[in-house]
Amino acid sequence: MTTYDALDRYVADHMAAWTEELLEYCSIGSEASDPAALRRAAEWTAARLRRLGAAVDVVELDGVPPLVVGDVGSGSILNAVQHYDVQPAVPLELWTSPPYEAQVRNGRLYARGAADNKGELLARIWAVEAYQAAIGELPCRVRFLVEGEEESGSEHFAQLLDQRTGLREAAGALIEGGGIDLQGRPQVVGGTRGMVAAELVCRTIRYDAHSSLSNLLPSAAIRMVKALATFWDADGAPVVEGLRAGVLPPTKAQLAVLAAIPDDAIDEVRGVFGIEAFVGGRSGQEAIRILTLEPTCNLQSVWSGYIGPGGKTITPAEAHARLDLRLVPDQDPDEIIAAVGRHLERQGFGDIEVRPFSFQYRAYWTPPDHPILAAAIRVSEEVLGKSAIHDLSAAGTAPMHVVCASGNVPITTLGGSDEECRAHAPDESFRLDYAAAAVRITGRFFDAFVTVAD
Amino acid sequence: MTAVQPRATARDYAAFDRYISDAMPAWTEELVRFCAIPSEAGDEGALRRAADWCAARLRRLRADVDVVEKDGAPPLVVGELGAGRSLLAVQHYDVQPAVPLELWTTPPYEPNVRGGRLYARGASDNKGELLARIWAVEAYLATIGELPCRLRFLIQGEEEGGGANFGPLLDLRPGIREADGVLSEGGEIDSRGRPVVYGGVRGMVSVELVCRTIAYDAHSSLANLLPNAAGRLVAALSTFWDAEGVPQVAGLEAGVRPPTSADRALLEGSPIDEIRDLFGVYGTDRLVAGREGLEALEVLTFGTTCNLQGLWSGYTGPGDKTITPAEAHARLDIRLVPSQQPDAVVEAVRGHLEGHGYSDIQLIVSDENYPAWWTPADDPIIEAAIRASEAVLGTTAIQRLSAPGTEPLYDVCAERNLPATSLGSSDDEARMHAPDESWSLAGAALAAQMTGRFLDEFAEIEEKH
Repeated sequence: MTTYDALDRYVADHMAAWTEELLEYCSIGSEASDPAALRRAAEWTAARLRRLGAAVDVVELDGVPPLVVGDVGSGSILNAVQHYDVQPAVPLELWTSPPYEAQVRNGRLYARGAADNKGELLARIWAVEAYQAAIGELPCRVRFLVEGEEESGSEHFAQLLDQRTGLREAAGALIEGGGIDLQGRPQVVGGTRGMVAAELVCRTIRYDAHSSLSNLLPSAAIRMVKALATFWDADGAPVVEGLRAGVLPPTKAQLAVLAAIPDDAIDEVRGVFGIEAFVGGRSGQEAIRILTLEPTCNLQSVWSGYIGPGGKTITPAEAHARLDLRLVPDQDPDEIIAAVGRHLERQGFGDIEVRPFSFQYRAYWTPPDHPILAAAIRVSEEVLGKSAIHDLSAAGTAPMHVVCASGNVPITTLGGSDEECRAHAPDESFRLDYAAAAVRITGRFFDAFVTVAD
Repeated sequence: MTAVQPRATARDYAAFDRYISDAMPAWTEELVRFCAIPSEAGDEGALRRAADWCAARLRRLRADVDVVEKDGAPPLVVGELGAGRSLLAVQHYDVQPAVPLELWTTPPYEPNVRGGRLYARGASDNKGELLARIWAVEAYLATIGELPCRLRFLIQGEEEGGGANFGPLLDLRPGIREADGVLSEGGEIDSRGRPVVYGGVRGMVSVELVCRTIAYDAHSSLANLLPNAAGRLVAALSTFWDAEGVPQVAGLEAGVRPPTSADRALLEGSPIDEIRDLFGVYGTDRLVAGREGLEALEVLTFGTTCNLQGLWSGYTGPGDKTITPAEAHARLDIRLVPSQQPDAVVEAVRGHLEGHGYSDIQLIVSDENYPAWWTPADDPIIEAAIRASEAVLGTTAIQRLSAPGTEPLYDVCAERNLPATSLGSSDDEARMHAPDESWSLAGAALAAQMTGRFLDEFAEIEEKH
């Protein structure tokens, strides 16, 4: 059996330099709206992979952030599905330090992208570097697939993959990162959710009116409020008919996995968000099941009228809202968006326009008893010294269906993002000792993967 | 007793009217310069420039000018001239925010004349209407002589923001409210060319609702478990109105003085085509709750409003952001009728939230709330305004108890129970507070003509008593 002392030492010795590297990477504001920054992030990624000795191929499509492919090692193929783009950093005023001037405080690196996904991506790269330096040739072939549109829906990911033959062929795939819970337990999942999103647009009058007429002129803001209020019950649970269309009933194996998850793994999330109760007072097993097995219907934003400082006495002519709906196997995104439209019609709001976003994902779950998950669990437990929490799927979304469905490639997470990393929110951060743990876990996984891939 | 024949009908205004038509091109240039100043709340530099501009313009009129200053407030510009009965002209030099800028055909602060209208933020509300008053005085002095009354301009810089400092600024000059009558900031000509004369304005209460559910925005994958601030605020707000958009807040009508039989008679004698025009102007085939005709006019006049002027939560920029929002905001403006007190209405909103289980939603109350002010329908100052505007427009005026809109007349009038009236020429196309605000230049000349005649009518009032 391989010992990892040399690898672990290499990781410990290099964390300081690697932290500098992550600081540099996170200073690139690679948001969807900034093509130049996306280009710089792609080039940075390509250069970093070349330094690793990877064969790098930058796949281009007109008007689209490129896909950076980096291939290193030989043997069974492990696709590492990653991204170099980040969520928008706004609202900027809620950041303790500016999102693109990465800063280390109390053992955490604060920046947009620190965890999602620049930190997790670098941990994979560092693992390859450490393996090669401390142990030798990689036991498998790691293929990095680093896209630049993940946070905005991976709209061209499939098309980019199609530009090269064989990119989807693999014995396994790594989802972009992995979790560690508040008690330091690794969280391993074998799936990701699907998602579809839409903007609702309500128009009532030709233009904003002086609000003195508000007793007579129909307000778009009020109409939108009345329409949205029909989407959830008093507790905030969605009541849209057809939202569950296509949901597969859980298998016995899946239910067993959920039953093994300790209640506190979910209940402690309440503390993170400073609340006493989850929606509907759910907790423990019930919360775990609804988080994993049920689709969501999230109101991500709403706006109408004048929203600047002060006020403006108008009756708004137009109102907007955006919904994101996360899906489970085997839901069809188009069908779910159609259910939203039908809901509006049934409730008497057929005039409200539903504009689906151009991206959509299907969920992709590996059966929980697949050996790749056992391998991921074993190496995570070995490094962190605690029993892993095994769940069926991440609550979040990643384009794993696009990469893995055609070849039925099994997938797993591995990584170091904890509950405090605030992915997608202000003050996103990555805990640096967990970054080191993620590198050590990944290094061990290369060996474990070979045994299950064969 | 038969009233003395008013001077206005006896006097020859030919020279006065000619002066106005000759001066209109130069005056238009003047309005263009005034409107180029973006005197929005928050832009202290622009507010100061607009105040200085007003003071200089009043000085050119040979008015005694007094710029009343108070820390943290745009100054109040006072201009006084003439002798005799005292008339207050309550005006303002600030404007509504011009956003959304992309909906303007030409930029809001690069005034543009096309099709006989001047397009700019403030073109009618209130820079145009203010200048029409000043032009009337200039023309009167040039062609008729000394003013028949004493006219005091009170030009504040916070009207669109609610005028929290207006009362305190007035308080700095004892006696500034001493007068025999008040001319409110502007006036209206309806789509059929009829003058509309108002004897009052509504009051106003503004509140912001803030809903917080979780410590910070969450990744939306947790949406099935984490309480969503946007969803919670939407659910709370949906209890404020019925399916048609009619307010359902208990106590919203607190303090409403029922209309008198004179009020009702005036309303019932009013034409309702303005109501009918709303359908075309706003491109809607149905008003709230299917109201029309007299019923619509009644609710427009006597009904307290509850308007959702703004609502925001989550990421509202381009693209999307998959978060469950931690915080959500909404702003309501509530227009009051006599004799509602702002505090009681605020309490009604608070009680509504509590009664529906939303006491966690924070209520931020504006410090710029004020009650309505209505002049009795038979006050002679209203008759004077009607006569002056009918003489110029040649059509029967429409009298209304109150403008549907709001001005802080209460601060000026309540202490001495001063009667107030409107007079001016903003029309249905003026789009006050909206993009492409404009003012008809032909209407501007009419407003100046009416105002000159009104000064004579107003001066006459005492003799009739």
